[in-house]
Amino acid sequence: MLSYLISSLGFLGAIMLQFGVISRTALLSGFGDLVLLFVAAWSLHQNSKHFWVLVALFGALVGFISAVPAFIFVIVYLLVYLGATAIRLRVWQSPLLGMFLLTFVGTLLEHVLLALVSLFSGASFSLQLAFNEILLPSVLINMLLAIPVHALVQEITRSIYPQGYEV
Amino acid sequence: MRNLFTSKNIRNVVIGLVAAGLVFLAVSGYLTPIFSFSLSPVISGQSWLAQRYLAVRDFLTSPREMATLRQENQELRDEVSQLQGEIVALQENLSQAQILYTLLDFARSNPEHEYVAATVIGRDISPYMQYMIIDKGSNDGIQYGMPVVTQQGLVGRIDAVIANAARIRLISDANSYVNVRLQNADVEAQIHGSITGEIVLDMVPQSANVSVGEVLLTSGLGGTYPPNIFVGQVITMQSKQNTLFQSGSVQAMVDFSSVNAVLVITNFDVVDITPLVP
Repeated sequence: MLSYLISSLGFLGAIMLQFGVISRTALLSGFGDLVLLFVAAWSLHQNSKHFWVLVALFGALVGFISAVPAFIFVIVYLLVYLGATAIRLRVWQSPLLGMFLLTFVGTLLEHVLLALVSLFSGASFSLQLAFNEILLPSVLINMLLAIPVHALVQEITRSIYPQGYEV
Repeated sequence: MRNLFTSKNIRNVVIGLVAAGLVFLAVSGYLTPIFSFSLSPVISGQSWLAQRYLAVRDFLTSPREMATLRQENQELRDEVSQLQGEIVALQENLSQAQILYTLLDFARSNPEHEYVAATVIGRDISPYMQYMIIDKGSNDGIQYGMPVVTQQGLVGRIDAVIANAARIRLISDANSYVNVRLQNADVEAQIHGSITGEIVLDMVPQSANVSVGEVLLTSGLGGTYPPNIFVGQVITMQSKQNTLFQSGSVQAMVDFSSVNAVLVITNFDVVDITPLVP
């Protein structure tokens, strides 16, 4: 129960930081997704059975705040959670590598879906512009933020799960 | 007279005279060098002793003084930190007050509208969409579709509302279209945003002579925005022979990345022309 409480607080903190700070700190036109990083890092280290419910709930909350349809974030975050679970079971000795992999793939997946939403909503869309001005800077920021987020979540999960999965 | 000059009396008299002489010499200052010379070893010894005493006393008492000083130092540092925090808070309040005063000036100079001031508390998580979140919602009279401005110009319109917050679609969003009027050319056109937040000027007739720096104002067509609100300035223009209209790029009057407070126009009735669209 404590892990659910702390992870919920972590989700709330990540969402507030995302909308209040990260989204206003753009590199070209791209910026990071702290919630995605939190989902990836926590999923790599958590040991709770129903954590995916929290992922879905907070993904829906992000979608509710955002102008993007809510199911996009639910899908992306649940896929990141599933990916983290698969990585944890196979390459559990190197959680940081898993974090980088999840961040990279998750960001690509998220941006593909967001770009598709933007495209289907009738917006004038330039693939080259989206790639150069939004996708690449966002991937770079996410990869840079992945290290401190992973370190922080690892420290928190060590105190919650004394027999944690990380080495 | 019996034997006054005994040896004992003579000795006493001599001693008395010598003593009186010494007192006289001492009072007269003639013995000072002798005193100085004779007392200097004593004074040196006393100085040495006093220095050793002070050293020992300092050794014994200084740790307590150091602790006291450290404690005072820490207290002063805490006080300085607290005061610096108060200064930062006051500066933030001052900055906020200046923004609100500017908005108030704008509201006073445009009395035809009623405004609700709101603070920007966030941006959308999707970098492909240009949205802002403000701290005022339906409890403050804000409704869907209301135009949003700052003292510099048009920001966008309300896209979604809850009780205590609202989401604004900026004019730089890719799905945002605004009918505008070029102030000097007296031509009507349209602007729309893009996924990167750049604003494109479109629907400018080929016959129009539009120069760089031309100011754009809302035209009021379509009923989504009130007329005569500053929108931006023309940066570049493109005219191709095989197209019906000229196009160009626009620099918005409002710097969307640094907007902290906005005004929502609450007495503007948005015209819904959806039923007229074929």
